[in-house]
Amino acid sequence: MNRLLILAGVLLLAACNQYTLVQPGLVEVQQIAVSPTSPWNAAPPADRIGGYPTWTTDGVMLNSVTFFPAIKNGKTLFKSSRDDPYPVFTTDLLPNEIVEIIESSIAKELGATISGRSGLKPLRIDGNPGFQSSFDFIAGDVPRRAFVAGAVKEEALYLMLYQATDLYYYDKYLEDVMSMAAGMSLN
Amino acid sequence: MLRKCVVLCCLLLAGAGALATEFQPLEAKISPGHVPHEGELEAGLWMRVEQHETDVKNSPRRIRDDALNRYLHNILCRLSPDYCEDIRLYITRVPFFNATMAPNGLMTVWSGLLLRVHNEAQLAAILGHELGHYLRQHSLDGFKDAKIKSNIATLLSLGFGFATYTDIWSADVYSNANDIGQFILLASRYAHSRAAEREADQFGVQLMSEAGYDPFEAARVWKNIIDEEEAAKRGKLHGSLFFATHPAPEDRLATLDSYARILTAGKTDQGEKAADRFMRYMMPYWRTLLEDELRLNQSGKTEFILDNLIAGDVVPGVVHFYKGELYRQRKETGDADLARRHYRQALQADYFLPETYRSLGLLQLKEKRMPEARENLKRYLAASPDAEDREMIEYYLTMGQ
Repeated sequence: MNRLLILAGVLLLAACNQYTLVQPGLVEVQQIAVSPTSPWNAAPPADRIGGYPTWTTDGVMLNSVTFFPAIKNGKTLFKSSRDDPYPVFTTDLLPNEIVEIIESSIAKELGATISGRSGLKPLRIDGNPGFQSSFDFIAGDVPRRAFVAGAVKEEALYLMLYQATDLYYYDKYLEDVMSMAAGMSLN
Repeated sequence: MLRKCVVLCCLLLAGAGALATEFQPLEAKISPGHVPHEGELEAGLWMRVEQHETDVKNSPRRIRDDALNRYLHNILCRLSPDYCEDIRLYITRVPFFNATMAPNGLMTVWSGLLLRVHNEAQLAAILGHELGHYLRQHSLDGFKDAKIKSNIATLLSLGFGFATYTDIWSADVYSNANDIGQFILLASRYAHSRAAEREADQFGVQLMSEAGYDPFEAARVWKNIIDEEEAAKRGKLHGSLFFATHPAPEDRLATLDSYARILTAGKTDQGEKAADRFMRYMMPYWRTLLEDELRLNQSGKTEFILDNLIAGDVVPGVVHFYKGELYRQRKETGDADLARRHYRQALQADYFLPETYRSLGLLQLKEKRMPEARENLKRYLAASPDAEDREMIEYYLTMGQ
């Protein structure tokens, strides 16, 4: 009996550390639904960014999409502490300011240096006024690029963050990511 | 209790000699153009550092601007004309106060340090300190010290382990005794590091004085750091590894000040600060450094840095803008008014950033003061025809119509 329990535990642990295939088509990721046009892999908890659902095609070091579902008023994007506070999302923030807190949070969470920003523009997401933007950053001495899209619905922030190495991988999946962002629905 | 006694004894031993009572000039332990002989321990250390240097050299974080790099190299040559060609200095974009020195002459200066010194003499104090590490071969000594202590640590661990196995002591005693043994070694390694830091401080201030810089500026670097920490109210300083391996800033301030008194005694001219020259070379970097600083979300420290820059009348149009940004992002009671006040002060300067109009406009937009908001957002777009957020700003302009 004990051996069976141990075996079940080992199998469960192994299953928790596996990447799982995400097929093209409508997929619900907690309170966000998207429709990828190509297959992705959902990362196990250990490889998720900030503990949020994270997908990748070539490995999270090369490219990833992270979904931030329903960040409530007064909350931070990543775990914050008194000694190392992260910027806080509040419902009165304008898109320019939401991009500021995203950049600051990424800079702190990944030890990144933000090196440029481009193309902040409105994006209607599931009938809600939202935005999209891109920024360049350096993390682990690798130049990277990020695309972010989000909207505030019923006092909560919904975000999708795509980041990849500037060289090769960013452009490789950008089209699929932008199509997912434009078709995002918020539940 | 035993552990507390050990901690106290180690700290007291390490702290002894913090105050300078006399000044014996230091000399370099190596000659100009020094290269270790093949097969020596130092040659092995150089080999390890060389790979790291390749990474630093090729890092995308490196600030490659010729003018700034040449400026810092020239300060090195003024401090130590015979050795400066042995040093390769790299400026890296990391928003914290630090500089490093490797045994093979690789020196790095972090961008956060440039934001925290007020003149060339203060920068020379840091570069002189790092040169002191190089000229006194502290990395090599530290490596030897760590190697010896690592061997002792292994023996201690094995010894206590044997004692437990043979049931001489209980497992609890093993655990505590082993912890204390390791702790003594760790404290001793930190004490070694602190001793090296003190010597580098002394060599640095000596080089400054010989090069004609005001040596009192070395102590002022640490005064700034103490004041910044206090501004941040971040608790006890010895919580950080930096302060575990370095003498406490208060000790450094007192010691460096006493060195400066000795070095300037009887002189009519205290030496050069060269604030204007430092500010001229830093001019293109304030925006980048302040944006990196703001992203750290440490408002107490950032406010302190900005206040220093304002007191020094450093590009008011830029610095007041970032002070406004700090308050707009912090959003405590009264911060919107403070932000507005600083944006207005920025706009009164001869040179200011078009983004000042944008930030003022965003504040007014949130306060539903639409005509003023539109006016400022239009000014921003007129002054920034290639604004990356043009489409978003144009969207704001349609709000409330």
